[in-house]
Amino acid sequence: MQIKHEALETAATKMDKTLGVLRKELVSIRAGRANAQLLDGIMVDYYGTPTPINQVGNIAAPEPRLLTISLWDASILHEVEKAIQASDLGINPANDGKMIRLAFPEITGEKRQELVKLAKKKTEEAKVAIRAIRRDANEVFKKDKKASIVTEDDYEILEKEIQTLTDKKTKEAEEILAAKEKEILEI
Amino acid sequence: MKYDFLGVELKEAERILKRDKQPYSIVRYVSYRPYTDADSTRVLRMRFRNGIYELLVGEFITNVRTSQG
Repeated sequence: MQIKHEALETAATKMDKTLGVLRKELVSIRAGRANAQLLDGIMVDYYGTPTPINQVGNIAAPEPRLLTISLWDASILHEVEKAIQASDLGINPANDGKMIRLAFPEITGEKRQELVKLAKKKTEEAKVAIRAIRRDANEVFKKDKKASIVTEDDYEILEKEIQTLTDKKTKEAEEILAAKEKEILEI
Repeated sequence: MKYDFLGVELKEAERILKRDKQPYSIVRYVSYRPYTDADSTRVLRMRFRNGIYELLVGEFITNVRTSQG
């Protein structure tokens, strides 16, 4: 008889969430290339309601280093500019009365190395979180073995399965980092 | 799928599959808080994969004693 443990399923879900957070964090590392996702999380005060910036206009990247925001309602142009300035994007917005332009400056080699370091740090944190999830699952398996809920053989299978899952998700994290590193170092 | 064993006792599901000479495998599901006094193993989910019926089974308490006796 095979075995399926709830803790293993929970671990897989948690690991996926960790990778999702890593992806989000790496997207926010500005690699010089303009990307609409960089504006994710910036909220605009829309008639008193905090609204995500991508819901108040159309965001486009017509050039590799330029983002444009065409607002549905031009009357909130200054609110949007204020929100961008208040964010940690470090870009000064320009406007032509209807459209906001965000010009991303070319980043230096030194800055690129710094960004790579930051991306590596974020990935390492994700890997630590994945290992912590594995440890939690292993503790549940150990407890169940002690309580004779799972047999010795089942315990070994579960241990192997959680290790395989951990290796897979760690590799995924490394792949995410490799892609980001490539993007950062791309000139 | 030819069979619907959801909630059926494992022994009964096995009996029917054996009778019909159908290949099957059993996967035991262990939750975070399994019953230590479970008295019945029943089918939670079933799927047909690579020509084999896979039964996911869990343990339940079916002899419930109520305050009314």
